[in-house]
Amino acid sequence: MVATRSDAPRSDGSFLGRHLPRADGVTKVTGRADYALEHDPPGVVHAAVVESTIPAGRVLRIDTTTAAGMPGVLRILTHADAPSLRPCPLVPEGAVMESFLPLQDDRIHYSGQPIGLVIAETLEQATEAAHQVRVEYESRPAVADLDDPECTSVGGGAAERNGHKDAHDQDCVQSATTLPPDSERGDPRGALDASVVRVEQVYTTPRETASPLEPLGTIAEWGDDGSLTVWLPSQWVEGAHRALADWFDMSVYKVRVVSPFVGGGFGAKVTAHPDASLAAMAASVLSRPVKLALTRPQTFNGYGPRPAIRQRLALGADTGGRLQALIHAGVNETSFADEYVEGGGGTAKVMYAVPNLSTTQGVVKVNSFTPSWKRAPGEAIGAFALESAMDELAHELGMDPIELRLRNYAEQDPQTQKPWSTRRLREAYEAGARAFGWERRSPEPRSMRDGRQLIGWGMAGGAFPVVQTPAEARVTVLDDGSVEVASSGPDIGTGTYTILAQTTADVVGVPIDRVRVQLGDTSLPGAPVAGVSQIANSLTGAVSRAATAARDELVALAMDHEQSPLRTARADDLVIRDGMIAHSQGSAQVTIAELLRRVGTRTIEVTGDTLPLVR
Amino acid sequence: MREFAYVRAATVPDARQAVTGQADARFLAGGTTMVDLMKCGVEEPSTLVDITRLPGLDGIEVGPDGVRLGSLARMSDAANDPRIRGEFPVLSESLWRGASEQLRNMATIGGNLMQRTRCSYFRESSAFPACNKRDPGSGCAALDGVNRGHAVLGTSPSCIATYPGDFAVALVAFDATVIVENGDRRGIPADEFFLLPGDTPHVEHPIAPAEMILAVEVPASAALRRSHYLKVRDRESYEFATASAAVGLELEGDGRTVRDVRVALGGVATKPWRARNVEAALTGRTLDEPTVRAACALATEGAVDHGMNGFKIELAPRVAARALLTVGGFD
Repeated sequence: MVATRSDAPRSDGSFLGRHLPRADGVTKVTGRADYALEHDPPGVVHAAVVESTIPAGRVLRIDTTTAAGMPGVLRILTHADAPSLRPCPLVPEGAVMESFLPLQDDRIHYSGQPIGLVIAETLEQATEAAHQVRVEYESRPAVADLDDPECTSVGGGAAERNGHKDAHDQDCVQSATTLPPDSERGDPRGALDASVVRVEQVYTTPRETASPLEPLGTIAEWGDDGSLTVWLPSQWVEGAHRALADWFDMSVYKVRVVSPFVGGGFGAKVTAHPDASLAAMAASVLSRPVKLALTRPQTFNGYGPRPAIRQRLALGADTGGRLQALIHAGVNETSFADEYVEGGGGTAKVMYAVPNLSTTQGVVKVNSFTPSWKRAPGEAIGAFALESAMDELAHELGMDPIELRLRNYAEQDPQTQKPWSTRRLREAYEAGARAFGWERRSPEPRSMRDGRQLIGWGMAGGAFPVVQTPAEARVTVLDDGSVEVASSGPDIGTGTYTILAQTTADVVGVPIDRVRVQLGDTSLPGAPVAGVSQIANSLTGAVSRAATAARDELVALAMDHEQSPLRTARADDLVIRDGMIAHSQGSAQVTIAELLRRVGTRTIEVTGDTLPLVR
Repeated sequence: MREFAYVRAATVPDARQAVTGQADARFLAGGTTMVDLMKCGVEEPSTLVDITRLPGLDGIEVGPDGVRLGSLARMSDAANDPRIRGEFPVLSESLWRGASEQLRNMATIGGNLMQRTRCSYFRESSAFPACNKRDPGSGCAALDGVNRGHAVLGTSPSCIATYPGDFAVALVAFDATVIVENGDRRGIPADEFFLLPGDTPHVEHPIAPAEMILAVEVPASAALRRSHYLKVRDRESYEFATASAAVGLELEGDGRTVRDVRVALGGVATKPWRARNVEAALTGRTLDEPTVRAACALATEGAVDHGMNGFKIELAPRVAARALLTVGGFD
């Protein structure tokens, strides 16, 4: 639980929109924030991963003789003796981004894949013993990346794509029914061919790992009753406990995931990964709590990155710069086991009023961890390609890049023809141009200098959807006048503890330092993933509902209860501010604590939600 | 990591005795290279002899004849010394542009000279068995591997690993001497302190394990007083050189003719690379941009592109030229 602090005057009790120190700030900088891996449950032992040093093939033999005899070593798990795991479906039906399960068989899918787990009394002992495990492999040719000429020919004979024949793309691109459907409006190919001005480019971006400051890892502990408690940094504790329940073939109600503080997620911690199943497997075999902390190098193979992507973008315009055609074809790498699609065409569909458009996606299978979401998957990378192409189009036309955007401004959603709820992109262009002194820019390349440095100057825009998902929160008013807020939604460093305290303080009418927020625990009311920038809007909605209901109960008590000093007042006449319930017209008032004591109520507890949440 | 013993030495003879007396015993100063490589499984000493408490070896002396830095002086102390910063800029710049603030506070001058290559094939002992520097005769994985950061000068079929340090580049440019204790005391010219790989890349310095560096002496010169270290790299800080240059300049009374010029390159060679051919091409000439650029082109004579590092052959002369133009006042 985190208590809030404020040194701002409390007179009007309005905390939303005010500049406040973070609720968890002091806790974090004084080292008291308990991040997942900083626990040491009694009896905890430590695990270290043995990683495959080849990217594809099989494990022939694992010699653990030396390692097993080293000081402190308790057990070494391999595919030969590790517990079997049951699969969890991929999102959205399930709660994982990769179907890979560690130590289930002898096959190697990617370099760094866990092929053994050493458990010892100390981390140093486990790490040293892991280095002494000797592995014999049968190596097979691996497909390294998107540009590997040996990439597998899947779904061969793929039809001509977008009028751009590319033998390499054709051979290696899988057109499978599991890929999202291609999108088309108008006649993009015809319109492109008819366009007077054309830009066609290929934009490539490399694999990107999220690499949050806090590495991945898990502490797992089984109870005597067969329940499982897991501490791991998580952007979605509900998802993690679903995955664990499926993997170990048990009810979600017997799994508890605890993640009150997360040192950065960026997509790496959205779903549970092999470190979680490894720690839980080891804990079940040893009947002791097991801590597995991935090293920094191991985190590069411990979850899925944004995959390498090649985007082919073709723009067709008239001499006035009005877009006639836009053709976007994206290909990203994925693992052999799963088909992850990054997308990238989403931004193109909504940014500009182009009447003829198509977007397609393909994937190439490589020996890697299944890619996953990282920081605006699809939108970020799609915007890069689109805006780069627009920049090149502006140059081709001899037109100012902002002017080009304005000429193609979408007054309504070009894909659905629906009006925007709001769109202030034009104002943003103008404000940006003013703020940066855009009129000082000379368009000729290499024309601007600062001493010996050439200065390049451009602009770009992006778009991101607003997503909201049902969430639950519980608000409890206690008879000392304090308020507790609880939800399983996490604070991944973005400030959830603070905004929920602000929301509650304002809605109920108490000082912010009387509000305690509890987050990131599946024993608390459910919440969706901290992803797609939705947690703030999803959780404040649920908290606001619950807090409003709690406030209403306080008002009702004040009005109706025979012990209340404000009895007979009308609801509309009562205000709650600064922890005080008062009559707006008269002088009668009572603190929340005093009211609850007088009426003999210990707590008022309300669970609110934005839509029913089925667990 | 191999289990190791740790002892603290109280005197230089004790320290040397401890290293001589034990197979695989090594000196430990700041530890910023040693401990790092022990975790990588590259260095496996049986004993670490901590020399950080040896008295009298951390002095920073500046006089009319030049600078003497004790081998245990911290990089940060030497870099921040106002006399060094003010009078001998290249020494301060090549120190503070290296490593990071935290590392510079721990690392010593002597240890800094002895730092080892950043070649990934050398450092990742479990993943890459072929490394002649780490395991003589095992081959060189970098030759047809990812070698963007590797050397284009001073390479051999056995090894193309770059010497990554900065300070040594300045020392080599300005004819410093490394003072070493061996029972006797001897001074080794800086350029001779670093060895080409040849077919013995595992031998990097002409000193035995029990020989201890005591100090580094840099003779004063007009060129040292008008000097500069330019480090070009992928990141603005906390990053090794892609190409760097330590330069110094002395002009004749006419303010245009070169009397003395020093040029050494970093980040592109297997040892700090003194570019005497560039110096010869500039001495006695009028200092102007075309002359500087033409002379600096000689810096990469004999350079070899190993597949991914050919760009250094174009970059290094430009870095040297830019550094000279800066000290020459052409910026």
